[in-house]
Amino acid sequence: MTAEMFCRRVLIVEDEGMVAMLLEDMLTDLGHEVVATIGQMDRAAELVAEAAIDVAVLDVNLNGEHTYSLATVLKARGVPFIFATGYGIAGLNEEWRSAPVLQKPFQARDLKRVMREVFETRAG
Amino acid sequence: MPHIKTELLDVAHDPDQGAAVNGGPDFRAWPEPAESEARFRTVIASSPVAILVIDPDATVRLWNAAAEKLFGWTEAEVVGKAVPFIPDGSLPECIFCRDTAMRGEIYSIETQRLRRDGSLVDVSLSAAPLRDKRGEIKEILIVLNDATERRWAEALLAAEKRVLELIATGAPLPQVLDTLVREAEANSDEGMLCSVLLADDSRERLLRGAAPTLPETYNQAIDGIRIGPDVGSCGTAAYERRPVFVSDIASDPRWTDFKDLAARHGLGACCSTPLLSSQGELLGTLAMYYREPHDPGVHERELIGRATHLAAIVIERKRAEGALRQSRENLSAALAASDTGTFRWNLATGEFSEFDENLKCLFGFAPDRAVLVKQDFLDVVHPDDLPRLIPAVDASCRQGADFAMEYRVILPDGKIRWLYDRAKIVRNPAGVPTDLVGACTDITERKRAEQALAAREREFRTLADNMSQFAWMTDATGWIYWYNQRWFDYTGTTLQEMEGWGWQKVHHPDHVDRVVQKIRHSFDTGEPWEDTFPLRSKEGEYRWFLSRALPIRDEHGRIQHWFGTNTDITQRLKAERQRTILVNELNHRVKNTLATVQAIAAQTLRSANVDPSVQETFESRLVALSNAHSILTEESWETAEIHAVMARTLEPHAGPERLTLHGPSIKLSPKAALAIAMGMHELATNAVKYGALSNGTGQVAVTWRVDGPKPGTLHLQWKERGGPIVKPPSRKGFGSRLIERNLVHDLNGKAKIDYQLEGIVCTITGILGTASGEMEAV
Repeated sequence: MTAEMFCRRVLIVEDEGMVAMLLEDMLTDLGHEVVATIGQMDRAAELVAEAAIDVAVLDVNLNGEHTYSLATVLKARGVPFIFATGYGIAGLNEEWRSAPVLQKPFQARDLKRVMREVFETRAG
Repeated sequence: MPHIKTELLDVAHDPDQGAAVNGGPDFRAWPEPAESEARFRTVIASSPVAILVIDPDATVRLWNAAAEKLFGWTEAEVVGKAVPFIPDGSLPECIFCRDTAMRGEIYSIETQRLRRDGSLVDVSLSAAPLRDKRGEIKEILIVLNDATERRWAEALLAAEKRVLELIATGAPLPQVLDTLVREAEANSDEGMLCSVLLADDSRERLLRGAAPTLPETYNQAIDGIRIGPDVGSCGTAAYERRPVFVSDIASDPRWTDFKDLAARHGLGACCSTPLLSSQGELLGTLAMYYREPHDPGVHERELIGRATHLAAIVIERKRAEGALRQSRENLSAALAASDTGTFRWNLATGEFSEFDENLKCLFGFAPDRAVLVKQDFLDVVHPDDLPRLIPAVDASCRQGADFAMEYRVILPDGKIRWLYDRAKIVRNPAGVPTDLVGACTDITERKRAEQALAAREREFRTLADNMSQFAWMTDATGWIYWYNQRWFDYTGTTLQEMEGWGWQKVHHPDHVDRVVQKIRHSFDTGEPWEDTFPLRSKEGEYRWFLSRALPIRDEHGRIQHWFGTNTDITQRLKAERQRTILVNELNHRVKNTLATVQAIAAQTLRSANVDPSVQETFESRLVALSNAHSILTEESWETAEIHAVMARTLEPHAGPERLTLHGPSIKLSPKAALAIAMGMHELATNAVKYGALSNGTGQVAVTWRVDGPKPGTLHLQWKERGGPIVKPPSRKGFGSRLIERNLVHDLNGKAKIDYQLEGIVCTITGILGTASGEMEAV
């Protein structure tokens, strides 16, 4: 229960406004800080490359475009990320199968669990 | 004895002194009467043939030693007296004889004359005139030959001839032997009783052959006597393989055991001779019995010898006939059994000298039908086969070559019979072809089978060439020797390039090693082969093929061939890929929509200040629905495995230490899967809030089984234990209604929630595979 005590700076990349809003509420309720919520690929790419964040939640399919490139950048920067997808793990590119995944729709407790896992893994 | 007569006359007739007059000697030509008379008398005296000279009144003038021997009277007793040997009643013949001679002619007759002892002797008599110097007939020369020997020899020959004729006419052995024995007895001068005994197959005993005049009781007594030493004359002769002549049965040690028997039947002597085949095998014995102790004379011994010889021939011949007949019967039976008939056709006459019954049967001829000439058989040969058959037969006859051909005959009922006819030319010792000897075999069944096979082969090829797949066959080692036309059409190759392992050249270089390794494994182990790989078309395009091969085994289980196919699945793979993309896209959208619904509800509830547990309950139901969808998505919305549904639904609520799942694998229809998932979710959330999962120790056990006739009935039980004491709810919430109404409706079954004090027990029964349940047991 230690990890969730930290306030994480979170970047949300999500093209569905309502879902983005739900995510913001959930993260805020969990005590995190949402740095930005982005629905466009180009803007997301900028932020992913530069923004001072602890973690990013990436919708895999952003207006029909995959967000794997963003994950690559984050990985290079050493910033953890979580894929949020309606496809589930099976819908992920093979390269990213081992990445943390949130299957949409998810509950706050699921988000909490995955966030914890991400930082526990890193801590370990 | 005409020869001797001529010789004698030649002596009396000097060849240097002219010809005889009227066929008689011409004494005018004699050189000196005294000298010639002396020479004449010397010749007569020393002749082995009986000669006498009489004068016209039958007074004996000359009587030689041979005459004395033949008739018994001495020269002194008869010379100057009337001829002594004329039997009663023969005087007219004698007078005629004298008169003929006196007329200057030679007179010859087979007749009988008296011996001194009064017995008659068979003679051949010649009487010739003797002339004096002036040519007058003064005396008669009479030459007498003992005809007994000749008569006897002739009689024996005649007897032998009768026996041999009997054999020739195919009379059975007992009859032939009976005749032989009777003939021997008839030719015996010594009152002999003849018998033939036959050796049995083991050569251990002698069996009754023929003994028509021996007493029946005696024959019965000696039937089957042992072959061995001291077993009478016959047993001993057979044992020692040499004649055993016992002149006195009563005193002979070899007859010790049988002498009383012989005595009872009045038998005093027995001469037995073994009958041996030309190969020296014992055939039997021939015995001659005499009533009194007796030593056979010269004639009798001669008779025994000849009868023995003849009996051996008879028996051997008959045995050979029997063997031949048996072998013929065997051959005939074998031919009949093999549907083979034989013929012999004479090239010179163009006629069949043989056309056996089997062959007649094969040709549809009646057994008594005469099949004589070639046309007889050509008449029934199928007209379509004649143009092949006739030249072949002619060529065979012309060139003396062997003949073999398959052709059809039309039977009287119109049916077709296939015959395999093979024949050989038989040549005479000079090498000239004389006959065509052959055999025909019914091969209708084989032909039918061949035609059926050919038809099947054609069908197979047609099928193989027209099927949408590529097809190929290998030998037992995996050497491909045949591809269907499709393969060649697609690859643009030839069998020469492809056969054996040549097919690798149309494989993709990235896959060929894997493919070869895998197929070799199958060829080595006999395991069915299946693989998917690209093959290059003649245009250079690679398309994907699902390939399978199965071993074809013989009746002993040995692999004879492999039959393989390649199915073009490029289109299918593309379609599958597209479908996967579509399903993923659909799922993505459904999930995003659910997520949006969730977000809307959350915002709505949040702004309405509703208890956060309501949102929690709503969201968890939504997620349960979504999870069930996920399982179905992974299975392409066809079925969902019940374990997967249970695990995905219940694991968020309880770990394995609190939850046990037990039951067979069942593939659930999408509708059933969703219903069960939602039901389980409600039970689980209830358990988490109030039941076994609300404390730290409670347990939930979910068990299910399928019974009843297929597809069967699902019995599912949710059982909580170890939770707080259960209080039945005052009103039914959404959860219990969902289970008891919705789930029951969707499963076409029954559900009961039992609020037992120690824990809730929920029992659900649903019929699998029903229209409404749409469940299917695996």
